[in-house]
Parts: sequence; structure tokens; C-alpha cells
Amino acid sequence: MKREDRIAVRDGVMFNRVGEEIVLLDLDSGTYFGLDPVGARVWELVTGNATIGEAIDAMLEEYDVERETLERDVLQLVGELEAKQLISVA
Amino acid sequence: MVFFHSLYGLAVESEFPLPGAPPIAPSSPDLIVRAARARPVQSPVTGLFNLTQDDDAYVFDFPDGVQAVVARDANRIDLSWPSHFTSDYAATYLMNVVLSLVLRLRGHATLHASAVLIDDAAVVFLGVSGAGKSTITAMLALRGFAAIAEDVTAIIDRGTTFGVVSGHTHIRLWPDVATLLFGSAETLPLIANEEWKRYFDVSDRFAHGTFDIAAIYSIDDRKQGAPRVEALEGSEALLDLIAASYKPDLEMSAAEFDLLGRIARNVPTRLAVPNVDLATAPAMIDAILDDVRAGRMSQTT
Repeated sequence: MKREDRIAVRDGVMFNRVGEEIVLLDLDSGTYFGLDPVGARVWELVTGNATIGEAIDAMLEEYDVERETLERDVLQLVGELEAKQLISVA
Repeated sequence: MVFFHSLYGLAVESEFPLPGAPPIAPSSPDLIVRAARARPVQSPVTGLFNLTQDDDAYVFDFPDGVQAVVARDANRIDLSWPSHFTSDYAATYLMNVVLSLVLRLRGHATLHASAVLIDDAAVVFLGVSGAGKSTITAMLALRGFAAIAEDVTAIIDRGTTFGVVSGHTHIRLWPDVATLLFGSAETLPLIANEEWKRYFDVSDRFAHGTFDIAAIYSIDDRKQGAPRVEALEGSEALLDLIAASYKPDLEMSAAEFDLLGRIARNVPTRLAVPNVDLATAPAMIDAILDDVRAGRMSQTT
């Protein structure tokens, strides 16, 4: 996965924001995936046309966190979403 | 002979009485229920029921041989049962899981929930089987609050506000709950196809019609130190609504997911935590009533 990669939400995946959190539903498998407020912000940025790198840069402005920690967490989340076939990375 | 009932806003014409369904004057039916010959069972029934589909119908097969065939346009149910059973027995299936499919096919989301009228608005109680929905509903009914729906609650979608529509009047209770509330379980009649469960007929304290939802309480596992009411926010509220969504073997649709999300965003949703000791149930009711009224106060100030 690279900084310039973009995310596409896979067909059949819906999301619902409730408060600061998001619940994803895969209509094909009927499975759900919950995102906490930080995960929801990652989702919002990377599905809103930001590259993964741009999303990390934006979140560094918003959160008091080390770049290395944030990069690791964002890449882990995106990897998990991809593994669950909720998104595709291109 | 036919019988006319009102169930979840539908005028139902049935060849046999539907226990607990409020009677109405003869009218043009939205749903017709007939006693019919069973279709061949497609596969061995495992679990609570099998649900299969063909070109014109959904077919529920239950382990004891009861079968319900629901027309795809949800305007007819053909019910069949082995000769050693009664129509009352077979109708108990119709009143929950079968009717929930009918409502769903007619565009209503249905929740595994009960609903009670408290201060002119509906309060909905979600939970898995055994969580205590019926206990809470019965106890509120005994305190003078009218029941709206039991076990199956159909949601009316108005965008950012939501309603529930009245169902049937038989609240199903376990013997220990019946004993707690009535002194002896034998005070209440047995449900036709249950060896243990009994029903409390609330037809004299029942709210007919459609009512705005004021709040939703998701009933948690019983815990020491309870009863109490807690906030249920964010994705937890939506996930509890999804878990309570009545969808017999059918996947949730995008429209239902959207609806449940709007409910979670717009309706105050709380967590009711009962105590492991059933004797504390009256304190759970007090906590819920206090919370409902505190919520009402905060909305008006």
C-alpha cells in the first residue's frame, strides 16, 4: 500500500454514521463492521477522495499523535477493511 | 365462517380465530389467512424453522409439521398443521415470525421488540429472546400503561420521526415471571403450543393505532449491581437495532439498513440493565419510567 493509493468502497457495502461512529454493512455477506470515532474519520477521508497519504496528513493536523503511530494505525485499518473486502485499494 | 382482526394496521380475514388479535367489524381485508393443505416439505427442518422460496410464495416449515405459505405480494397466508394440533396452536407461529415476514414484504421494518404507551408516546423495548421485553411490558401494563405490541414491533418510517403500529394483546411470560407478577403461574392460561409459557391478555389495557416513538430501550444481559439505565450512543445503538431486526433468514436490505441508521440517529436509545435477581424487576421499571420522563423533560426545556 502506498501514500498515493486511493480507496474505493466496494459495491454492496453501505455505511451509516451514528454520532461520531460508523457502522459498515456488507450486503452480500450480511456482516457488519463498526468504526470508532478515529476509524470513522479515516473512513470519511479515504472514501472522500483523499489519498491515504493525504488522509494521514489531514489527521496529523487534527489529532495529537506521532506520525509513525498514525501511519501504522491508518495502514492497519485500511488493510483490515481491504481484507474484509469492504474496500478496494488502487 | 370467517373472523376479522386488526393486526399491525392490517385488516385480516381468517378462516379461524387468531388468538390475541383484536377483533374488528367485517371489512375489505389487506391479508387473508386460510387453512390449507400442506405443500411437500423441501428439506428436513433444522432449527426453529426452514424458510424456502418459490416463484409465488415464501414457505415456512416448522419442526412439528406446521407450515405457513406466504404469498409474495403478502396478501395471503395459507396455514396447515397436523391433525392432532388445533388452529390456535398453528396460529401462534403466524403471530410472530410469519407475520414479521408479511410486514417486511409490505415495506415495514420489524423489530424483535415490544412497545408500550407511556405518556402518549411509544417506548420500545429491544432484546433477544429471554432478555425481559415481555416482563417489562407486562409490568408496565399492570401499572396502567397500555401495551402496543409484543414480540414483533412494526416501524412506520416518516423520515426523521418514526411510529409503531399496534399488534396483538397476548404477552407471553415464563412461569417465574408469571409467578412474580400474579402470585402463581397457573393464574394465566398456557399458550397453545408451549409447554411452559403462559400469556397475559392485555386487551383491557391495549393501545390501538399508530404512535410516535419517544425512546428505545435495549435490554442488556442481567448484571449484579443493576438495575440501571445507561446511555447507548453511536454505533452501539445501531448495532443493537440491527441485532433486533426481525429478518427471518433473509438478508437485511439497503433500505432497512438506512432506516435503522436514521432511527439510531434520531430516536433516543438507551441501555436498560436488569439485575440477575428477578425480584428487582419493579426497580427496573421505576428506573425506566424515571428515564423516559427525564428524557421528555430535556426535550421540552
